[in-house]
Amino acid sequence: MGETLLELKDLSVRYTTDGVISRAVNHVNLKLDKGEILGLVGETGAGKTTTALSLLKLLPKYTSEVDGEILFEGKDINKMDDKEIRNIRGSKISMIFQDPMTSLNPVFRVGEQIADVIKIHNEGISLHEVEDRVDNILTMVGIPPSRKREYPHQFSGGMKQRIMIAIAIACNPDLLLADEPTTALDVTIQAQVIKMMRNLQKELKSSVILITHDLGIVANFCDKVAIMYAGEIIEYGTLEELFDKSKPHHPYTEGLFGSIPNIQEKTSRLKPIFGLTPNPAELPEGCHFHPRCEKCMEVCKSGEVPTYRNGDYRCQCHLFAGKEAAV
Amino acid sequence: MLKYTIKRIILIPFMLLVIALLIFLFLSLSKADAITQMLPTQYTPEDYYNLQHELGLDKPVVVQYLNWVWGIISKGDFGMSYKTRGPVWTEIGYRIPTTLKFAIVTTICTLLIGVPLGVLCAVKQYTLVDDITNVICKIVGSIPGFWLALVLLLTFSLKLKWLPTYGLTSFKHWILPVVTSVLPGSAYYMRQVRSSMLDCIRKDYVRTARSKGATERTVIYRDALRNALLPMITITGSVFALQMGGSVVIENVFALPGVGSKIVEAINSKDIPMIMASSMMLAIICCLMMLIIDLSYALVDPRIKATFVSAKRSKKTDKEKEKEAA
Repeated sequence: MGETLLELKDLSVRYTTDGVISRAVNHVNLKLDKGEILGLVGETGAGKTTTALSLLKLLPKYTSEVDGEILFEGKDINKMDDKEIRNIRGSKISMIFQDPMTSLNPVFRVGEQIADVIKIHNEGISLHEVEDRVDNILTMVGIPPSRKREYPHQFSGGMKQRIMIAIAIACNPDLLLADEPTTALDVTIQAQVIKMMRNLQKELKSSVILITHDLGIVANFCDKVAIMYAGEIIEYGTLEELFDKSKPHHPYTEGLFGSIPNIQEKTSRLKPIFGLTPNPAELPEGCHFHPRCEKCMEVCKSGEVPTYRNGDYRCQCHLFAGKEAAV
Repeated sequence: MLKYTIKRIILIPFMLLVIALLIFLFLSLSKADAITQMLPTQYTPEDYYNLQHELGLDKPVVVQYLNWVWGIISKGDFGMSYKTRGPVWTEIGYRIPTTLKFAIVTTICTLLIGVPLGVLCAVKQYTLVDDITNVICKIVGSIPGFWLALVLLLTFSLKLKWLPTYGLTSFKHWILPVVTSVLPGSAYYMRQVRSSMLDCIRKDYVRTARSKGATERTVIYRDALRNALLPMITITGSVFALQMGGSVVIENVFALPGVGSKIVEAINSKDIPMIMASSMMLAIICCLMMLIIDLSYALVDPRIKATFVSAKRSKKTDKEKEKEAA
């Protein structure tokens, strides 16, 4: 570890629809080392998926605009042309999509869909070898290779997600973007899929960005955690730092933890965060979280919010003023 | 797959029975008195009744219908022409290949123009290319076939004298009739492909294909188009049916020796068995086409094959109506 694989510098994504500008991702700075697993946590609409899609340049061409740098192995993805990014997609960075039901092509056999990505990135490979590799990968994700001649509709949801994972890992990517890989699955299958992904990650030594809103999965799986709100990373640190309740946290992070039940403590009522994620077209002034924040102060309502750092840990909140070294 | 095929085939005779009934009933309702036309100008009531008896027209309509259907089923006999007093079949039989060939050629041309244009417009949605193609398609699609046929005939055959006016003997003869049928058909087809394609381009699996690193061309023509063409198979069937119905107009304007022109001729001479037989022929061809469409649907879409779902039956009623219009 220690070697930087991916670095986002001041990444912003804007969508324009009918003249309305939605600021989906705002000035995100993020660093990911080789072999590291980062959990990207936040509510629906926080910009997690947009961030992931921008890493593969999969955002809609005409309605979105990406600013900032996305340095992958030192090269800026944002400046790559179609051919360069195609070489990266599927082979170096691959993505597991949120909904396995609709993300597989219904008219192709699952084996073909896995073989596709192998053929694209290994020119001149023999058909026999492709078949062998498909069999291998299917075994890795726990599906009998004999089923590769079946179509997606013949598989259950959990099996489809395994196929998606198989497609994503087919070329041993350096970076795996898992966009809520378990959201569409029921809880028992979730556990299986997460366990499998963890084993695969250990085997392949890929870096992973896991997008989720399930803190339980993060606790099980991740090394680093970034909390996202309204397109910004408001708190970032190691798993231990973020899950340490004795330390102060961003009020939003505290809210997230407050809204899941804890079996060790007696709680009569969960404490949800009130209100909704702000509309990215009309983000509030100052700290974007201030209208929903219980500890909102006058200073929060306008102006830039400074970032407080302690080593790699950082938090974007006025409450931290003076507590740690401001940058 | 075998079960599905058999199920489809069994349905056809029943469908044809209903179509035959409709054709028969409408013609009985029309009260076209063919007998007076067949008799010499000076005839006695006795001659009239004799002829009526000879043709079986004195029996109740239901009996007439059953006799007619039984004749077709048992002997393949579509009846006697009132005009030539010979079997209808000899008149129609040699005209079927022309109509069939024409319908197949026009359908294929429609696909060849409609699919690429539809894909192009979907990929370039909201650009100038898309807008221009759309406007042209709307104009072409709303031109009535008989008008277009006459205008083309006047311009290219009579004024410019580039192309012949009637018949189907050489390649040059095919140009005008085919263009006349293909233009409105492909405009319709192109719009269908475009909307179907637009639907598929936004699907998650297309994004998956992109995320694999596939080229844009592969993504569009392999992953999206294959899915977009599934509903198009059904529409191809209705395009074919449209061409069959349209043959009545086109064959007449260009004097092509097909079933369509025979229908009009038969209507003019009140040759009822001939009208029924020709309409029936068009209906049979359409039903067979529908069978092929249904089977290819199952072949292309693994989900249909798996469940033996018998979808898309409503299309057949559309086709019946067209036969009646003819």
